[in-house]
Amino acid sequence: MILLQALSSDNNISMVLFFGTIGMLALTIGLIVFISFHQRKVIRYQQQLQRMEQDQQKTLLNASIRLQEEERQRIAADLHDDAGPLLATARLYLNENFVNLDKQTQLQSIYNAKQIIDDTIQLIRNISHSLMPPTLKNFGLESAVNDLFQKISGSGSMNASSRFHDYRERLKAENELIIFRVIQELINNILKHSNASFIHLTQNTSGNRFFIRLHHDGRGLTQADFEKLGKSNVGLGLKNIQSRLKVLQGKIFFEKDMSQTYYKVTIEMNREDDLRPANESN
Amino acid sequence: MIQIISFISSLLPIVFFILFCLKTNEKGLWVIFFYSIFSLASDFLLTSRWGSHNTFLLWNIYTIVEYSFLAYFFYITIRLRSVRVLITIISALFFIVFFIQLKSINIRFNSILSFFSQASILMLCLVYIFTSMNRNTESLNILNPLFLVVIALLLYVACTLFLFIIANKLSEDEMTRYWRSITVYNNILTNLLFSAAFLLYRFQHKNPTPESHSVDFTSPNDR
Repeated sequence: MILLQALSSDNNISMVLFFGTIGMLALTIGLIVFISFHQRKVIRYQQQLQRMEQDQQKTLLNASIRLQEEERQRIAADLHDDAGPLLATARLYLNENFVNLDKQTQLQSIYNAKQIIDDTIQLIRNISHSLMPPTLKNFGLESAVNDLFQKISGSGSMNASSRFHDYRERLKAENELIIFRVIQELINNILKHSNASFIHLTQNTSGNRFFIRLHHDGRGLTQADFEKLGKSNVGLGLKNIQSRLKVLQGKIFFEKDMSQTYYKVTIEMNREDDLRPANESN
Repeated sequence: MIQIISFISSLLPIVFFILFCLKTNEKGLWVIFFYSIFSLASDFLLTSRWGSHNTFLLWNIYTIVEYSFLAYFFYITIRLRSVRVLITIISALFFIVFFIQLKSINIRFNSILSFFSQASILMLCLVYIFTSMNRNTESLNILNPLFLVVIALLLYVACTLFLFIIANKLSEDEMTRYWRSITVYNNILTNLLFSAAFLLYRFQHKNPTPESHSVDFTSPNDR
């Protein structure tokens, strides 16, 4: 109808009106189409991102479950292979008292049984300490890390040292445990794979950010390696680190030192809600 | 015939709103509801005897009231402070221009004011779309009633912008002819989109997501 009117009219104004309106309409429809396509593209992208995140969560969960199972198997093996035979032997020595009535022999067998029970107690204590280090529980992260590093240095295979610059107030107990486990995992990896001659740990804070940095001079990982391993099926320990840090909403960075001599691992987390007086934790 | 369809279409958004959105808290939809009532009332007045003698007065008043409704709609819909300040400034300018040209309100169609109004609304439609796109993709949901309202306004403004620009150059006969052919179709389209927006609101709020069932999957030992 408008077209007919525009064509039948000699008036330029009609033409301007006709083409102007059609042009505006075309632009508007074009804009609407563009928005629709853009929206679909964005939705697709978001879905993809969500899927990737779900996959990542699933991998982390699987890693955490596998690690838990491995830990249980290790404890079961320790109890079965070490504590079981020790207690059975102690039982044998004690049984001998019923058979052999010689006082001297009886005393000797009781003494042997006592020795074995002491060993078993020590063994169970070790298992218990590996589950929850008493130093960490009673004296905090700094002491637990120092303890761990002393043991490593004491072995003579590696020089391990640590320095806590700003740890006057302890983190929450559960967060300390998570960080300690992450440090343990990292140290374990360094001991197993890096062939390093020293490890140095530094702790510091900046505002409400809490940092822990590990230096070593062996073969290490870069951030790209870490992310690659995190997505693959291998690197269970690294996935475990990731899932633990996710609980703390913390981050971890793997990088090479400026001098290209050392590898650095930095753990970063927010300590805003984590502060609590040291005496509360005891 | 098309006039009757256009008139019936003007009733649609009002009826749809009363049926489906009367309990809504969405202020934007309420503004559009009152705007639809106002448009219908204006159409009635234009067809009355008094209206036919005061066409320019009615058109000019319609322009300023329509602008007020739509500017307020964007003011409450776009929640950016800068945009709200911009709307306030533009509206102030708009009313200044209106009062300057008040003398000719009953003499001729105020093309400048109408163009100013349409251009502002067009700009605000674009601002709404692009701010929504930049801010958060979820807020630019095509199936969002407010988005549909903005699309309706965008189409309405795009169709009538050139008509308003050259309205002063048209003879009364041409004005009536073009006005009728453009605004009637445009009116139908806009009203249908408004009605669709109200209907969409109803569909989206009909079945709220059920609360998660209160089945406790934890073992008695964990409770």
